[in-house]
Amino acid sequence: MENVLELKNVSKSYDGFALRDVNITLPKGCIMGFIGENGAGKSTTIKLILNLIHRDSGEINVFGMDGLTNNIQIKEDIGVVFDESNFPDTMSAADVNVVMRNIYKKWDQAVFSSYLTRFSLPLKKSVKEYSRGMKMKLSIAVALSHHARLLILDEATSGLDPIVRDEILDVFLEFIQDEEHSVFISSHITSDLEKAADYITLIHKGQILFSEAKDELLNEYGILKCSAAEYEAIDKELIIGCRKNAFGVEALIKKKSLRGNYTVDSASIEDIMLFRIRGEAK
Amino acid sequence: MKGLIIKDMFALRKQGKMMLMLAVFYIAFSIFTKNISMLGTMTALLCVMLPITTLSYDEYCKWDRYALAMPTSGRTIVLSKYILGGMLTLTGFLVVAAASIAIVAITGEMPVGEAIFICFVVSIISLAIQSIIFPIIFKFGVEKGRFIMLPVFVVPAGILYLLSKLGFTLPDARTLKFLAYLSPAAVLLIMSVSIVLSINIYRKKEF
Repeated sequence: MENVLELKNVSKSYDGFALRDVNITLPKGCIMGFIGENGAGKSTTIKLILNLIHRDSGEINVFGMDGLTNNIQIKEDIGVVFDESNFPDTMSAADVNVVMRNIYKKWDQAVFSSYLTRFSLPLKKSVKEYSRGMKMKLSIAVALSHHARLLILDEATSGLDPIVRDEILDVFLEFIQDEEHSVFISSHITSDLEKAADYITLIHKGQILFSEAKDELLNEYGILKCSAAEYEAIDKELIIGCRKNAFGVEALIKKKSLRGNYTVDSASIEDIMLFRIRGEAK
Repeated sequence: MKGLIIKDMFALRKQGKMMLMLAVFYIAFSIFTKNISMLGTMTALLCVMLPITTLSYDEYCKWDRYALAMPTSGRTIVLSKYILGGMLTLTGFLVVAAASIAIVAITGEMPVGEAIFICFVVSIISLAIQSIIFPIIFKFGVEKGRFIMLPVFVVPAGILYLLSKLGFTLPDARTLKFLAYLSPAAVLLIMSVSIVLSINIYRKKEF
């Protein structure tokens, strides 16, 4: 399968924070959810992909091309949405259309106005009067109106109400219907990603903890609930993290290899993230 | 490039109305006081301030990272600001020159040729100031840049003041005029250096 996005051993260090040997591979036609705490390195990674900051080492390929040497060509085919609107307050959606028509070679006015209608965004009102949800919808409309093949979204759904988030996720799922299209979306709202993503990548303190197919993750891991005594008998190799309390033990466990009669619930992406990051040592 | 400049125009639309009102005011002012230099100076000042205003909008809404995520290079972003400044200065020159011709026709303050010459020199000075300010702002941002700009202008003005106090007189009108004729070449040189400097500063920036 062709890869749309490849990061190989990408590193970047700041004073007090470092992104170390990040490896990510996003196959064409997929949605990858990029999760992690605030400050884990999600935005830094996205900025590196977009060449907004300079990497210390490593290699980034987009559409099979080197990200640095083909920067402009690559960006014609990428749609980007950041966590806030980046348009000057005085501009309206109609103005945005004029500006973008002069920036993207493949800008499609018809597609843009169809998104404006779909999102009920007024053409003449200035962005200043938009709600947060409307601003994000405008940014998403821009990202989808120049026939991009890859969408990169940095916390695009955070700060929005569940209804709007759901509406936006539907748009992404529609976008991905075309198998030439791919999405890389960072978020700390794991339920959104659970719904939409094919792959989940977890980053913690600047390092990738895992990058796997979502279904495999959900098949592989389960939440074990048992007493402390039962817990002691289990092979600790299978345990990823645990939480102990007065009533017993809850642990994230590799459920397929677990033998015996235990209560194992299915784990959500949020469980996996929490136990990987916060779970106590076995 | 075109898209970026159009975006700045949209961002400045609000100021546009205010500028029109100011222009009307200063034209009237020039006629009453029989002095066009105020109109020229104010226009030149606006031509410097407006590109800075767009830079401060850009900072405020983090436009740069967005623009760089589009098929736009840092070089293009830098150049677009110089072009915007140049376009504003040219427009300012044409408007003020036209107004000055009309004003001196009414007031008879000076020959038409001289009035246009003054407008020209003021525009050249405006371009020179832009060339000094842009690299400072690209390096330090609008907020800090403002403070650094201050000594940039106060120090030379102070030196000039001191020199005049110490008995140095300004060169005579003829020499000044000769210098003014040379100024376009000097400004082109300053601008070229400034652009190269700004592009290099911008390239090192992180967003």
